[in-house]
Amino acid sequence: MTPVNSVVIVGGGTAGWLTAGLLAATHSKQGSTGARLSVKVIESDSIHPIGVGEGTWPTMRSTLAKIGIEEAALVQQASATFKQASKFVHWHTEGERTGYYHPFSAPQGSATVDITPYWLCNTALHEYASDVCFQPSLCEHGLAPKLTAHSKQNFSANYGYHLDAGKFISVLREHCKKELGVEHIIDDVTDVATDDAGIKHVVTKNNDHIRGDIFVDCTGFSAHLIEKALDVPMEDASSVLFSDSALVHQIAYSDEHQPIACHTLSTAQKAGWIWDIGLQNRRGTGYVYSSKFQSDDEATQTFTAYLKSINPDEELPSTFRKINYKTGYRKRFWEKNCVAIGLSSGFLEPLEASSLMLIEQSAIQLAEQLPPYTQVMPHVANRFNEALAYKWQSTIAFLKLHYVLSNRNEDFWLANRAPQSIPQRLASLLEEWQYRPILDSDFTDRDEVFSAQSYRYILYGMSHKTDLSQYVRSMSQYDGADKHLQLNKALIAQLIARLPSHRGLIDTMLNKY
Amino acid sequence: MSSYTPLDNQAHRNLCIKADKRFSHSAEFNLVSLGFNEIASISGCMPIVVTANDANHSHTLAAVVGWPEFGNVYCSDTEWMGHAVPLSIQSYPFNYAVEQDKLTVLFDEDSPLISNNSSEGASALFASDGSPSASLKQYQSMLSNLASGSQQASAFIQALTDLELLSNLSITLHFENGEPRESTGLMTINEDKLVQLNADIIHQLHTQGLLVAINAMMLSLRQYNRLVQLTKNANNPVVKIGLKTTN
Repeated sequence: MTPVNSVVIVGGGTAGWLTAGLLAATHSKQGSTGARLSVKVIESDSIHPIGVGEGTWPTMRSTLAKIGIEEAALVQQASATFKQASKFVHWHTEGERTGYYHPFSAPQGSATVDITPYWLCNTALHEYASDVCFQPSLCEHGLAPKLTAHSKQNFSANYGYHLDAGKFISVLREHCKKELGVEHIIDDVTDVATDDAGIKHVVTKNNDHIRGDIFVDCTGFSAHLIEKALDVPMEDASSVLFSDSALVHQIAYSDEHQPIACHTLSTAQKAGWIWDIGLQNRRGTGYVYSSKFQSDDEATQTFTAYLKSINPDEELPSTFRKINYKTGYRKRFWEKNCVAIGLSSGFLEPLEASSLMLIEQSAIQLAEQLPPYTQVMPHVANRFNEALAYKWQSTIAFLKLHYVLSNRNEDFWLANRAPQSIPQRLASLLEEWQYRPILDSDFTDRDEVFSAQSYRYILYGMSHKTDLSQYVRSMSQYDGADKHLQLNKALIAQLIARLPSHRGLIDTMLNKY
Repeated sequence: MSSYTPLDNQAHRNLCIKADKRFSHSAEFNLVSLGFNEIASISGCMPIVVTANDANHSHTLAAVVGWPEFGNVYCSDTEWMGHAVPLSIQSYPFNYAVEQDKLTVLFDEDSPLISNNSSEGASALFASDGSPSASLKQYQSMLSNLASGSQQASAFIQALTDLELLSNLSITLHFENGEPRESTGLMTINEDKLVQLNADIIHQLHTQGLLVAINAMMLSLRQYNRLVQLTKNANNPVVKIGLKTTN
């Protein structure tokens, strides 16, 4: 039996350091033979990570807790702000409603009853997320998700973060090195040697050969190990999600004291959508589009118009930094002794902040299921591949949901609604959902990443009409549902009276005031 | 000397407030006006009475917190000596004015609790974006409770007056040195008249939520014993108290 005692992570972006942190924190003690798990990160100082303003899921809080990084450090050192929701603007063209929310908090009463069908029956209600959940109102008022920095005993809404990705990497790196004993090797990998077991060693410029029992490919789009050395191809998903380009830019606030949005703003455009993430001193923005439906020049104009609308005084470049990508994921994420995590494992447009989430889920599964001996590695790899493939596929389906419900009429949007571009399972569910509400039991797989609740926020946020004439036979909790709808209103009023503004909470965490 | 100024998020954007858990600004208070919504919480801590104001015949609902000889007996050098604090004391140094149904927040510019810098333990009134901080919001919500409680208190007293349920309360304090002092000017519920009310009116008071308040006021007079107890470390403390209602 050959024990697994050493993990070599090639590449030091968010994926590399999050994986290193989770591995080192999970396996912090020594084994019975005295052996510890060695975790090395080989990071080039000549390659710069793709650092844009990024959003996380609420899962990042438990991920960071596992690693041992405190929220205050994130706010003080990574320009972090709080994220309570995504707001989708202009994804629908008709009616007075221009946007809808996908909040992180569950609807009122969801522990005991799903009030959605009752909401659907109530013709006086029009804004699903705001009617069933307090959180969209907090976002509209620019309020923080909690009263104070330390609010374990007080009210706290569910939240994730908006981060400066570059600074976040520095926080992770310092912590991994200082607190978790992760070895940091600054070097360039020049070659990868393989054998029957997978990666034999990597050849570096200054440190010769570096061996390991497991290699993690965090080399980004270049996928040095999983693709170049081990030939694992991509599963293309561009027939479902059409975008292949992103223009990115960071823009200052028009006034440094401007309120900070507590949600990711996602505004639909002619051939894609623009993300807008409020950090402490600037907003991270990007235009995700399909080059098949809009030329780069035209896309630049679309992006410029948006940026001008949020800060007319900002001087904008004539061309923006551009990222090209292929939407898809690895056919196998874990091949022999090599695991791909981060961009090397695939790429999806950041519509629901799935990129960091998939890194977290991959790294947590790797850390939890790390094979003790190389002999059992194939079993672990098979399970990992099945689970991750399901997670990627269900994420793709959920992203597609946003597009198929739109009624915009530009070519890009029409093409997105073409039946052959819609994954079969999603298409079937959409057909069923015409006659019944979304049920929790529609999504029961262990590896489900988006719950029924997320689907409800999107589907009913886009004002989906549902014919419940058959379904009403099973509805018996009108009074209970009505109470929850009233409770939600009362809770909103109470929270608005108590919570500080988002910037106000950040101020106190920075000890500015 | 207090000078109340309307609070403004531009002019006062850098002001900070310190919390004073001893509420020492109220050290000389004897009576504190009370909102109707405070009866439940205060009645187990302080006597609740109605003040008889002969000059303009206006009555107020009030909590008794001390006597001229001692000042506010709930105020000590180290802590607040009760489990409840009237809102008007808690909300200091803020106050409110109502103009055209809109609540304006005022604050005492001379209060030592207000400062221009963030010293130890002080919190900002406004965030850098000009929005009220969580602590200011707490004061704002106290003030709006205070405003609604005070309106309800007037209605409550009007109902008591209409039913002639108020009678004068005379109090005799017996000091340690043997001297007694009688004080008047306060009113309380006339128990005899209350028992004589007919069932319909009792039922009406009950459904309006007034009956429980009336009972709470009567029971709260027991808290005079608490005041007596709180004088015991003073010079010449009160050793006995007598209460008498007169029509």
